[in-house]
Amino acid sequence: MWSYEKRLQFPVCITERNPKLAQVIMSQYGGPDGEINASLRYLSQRYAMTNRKVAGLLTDIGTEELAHMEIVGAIVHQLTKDLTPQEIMEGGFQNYYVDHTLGVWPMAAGGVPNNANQYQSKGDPITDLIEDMAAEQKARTTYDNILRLIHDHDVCEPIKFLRKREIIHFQRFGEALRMIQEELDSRNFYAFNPAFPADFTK
Amino acid sequence: MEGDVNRMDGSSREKLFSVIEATSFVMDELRLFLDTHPTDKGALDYWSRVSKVRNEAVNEYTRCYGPIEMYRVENDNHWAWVDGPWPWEGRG
Repeated sequence: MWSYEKRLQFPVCITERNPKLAQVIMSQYGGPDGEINASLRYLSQRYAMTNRKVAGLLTDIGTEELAHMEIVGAIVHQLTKDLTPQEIMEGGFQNYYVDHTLGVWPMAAGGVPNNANQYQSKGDPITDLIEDMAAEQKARTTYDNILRLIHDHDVCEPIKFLRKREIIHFQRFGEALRMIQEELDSRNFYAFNPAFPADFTK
Repeated sequence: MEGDVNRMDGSSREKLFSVIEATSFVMDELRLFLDTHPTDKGALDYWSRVSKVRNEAVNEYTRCYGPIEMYRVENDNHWAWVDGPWPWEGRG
């Protein structure tokens, strides 16, 4: 069960529209390393997570990613709000506009629709946590790439906040991986799925 | 005179809201830390302290300016939950 709060985790208040930036930042909404995929990845992985504390962590980070999805959506919305047809053409926004007008739709900056093939829920706690750590780094790199392109303070601040959260999540997932490994045979961490009996090897 | 009152009201609303934002974030951060450090005394104490401040701020904000949390909506012949603005609209 989730409960919505009428506030953003980090405030977004953009005064200057910019359709070019919106198209780039949109990738962190529905792109391969975007916030939607992060949330669905972690929330889906919970069911096969053998360690209850780590299942809790997946729930809490997956929940925070929903709040990040909302922050990115707010940035895209405010960057494109009330664009005129002329601004749409000059900002190269026409290809997006023709299908979605000024709505927010989950896709990558290159136009690829949001896609569950971009993340896994493997049902193997070690595999999943290593993917999660990689995912946080990929998202951090994407925010680094975005930050090189933007200079507007109103846009930079929430992006910098989101970037920092990727680092924290990476740290927590690293601790979670350690917790899982502590329950296993240290000579053989990576040979078997800890969530599934290994009698197929007999 | 009325204008002054409105200005004061606007700034205290903003201040109260920023207390909610700040304390909520501290709790978001502590929540993840405590998931992997469930017996850390410092973090547990911090949680209790911040939780108290946040609760008071949310209660006060809800009383003065309306609900930010659906379970706290109290009806007075009007469903206040859908009164704007929504968070993504920005305050600019």
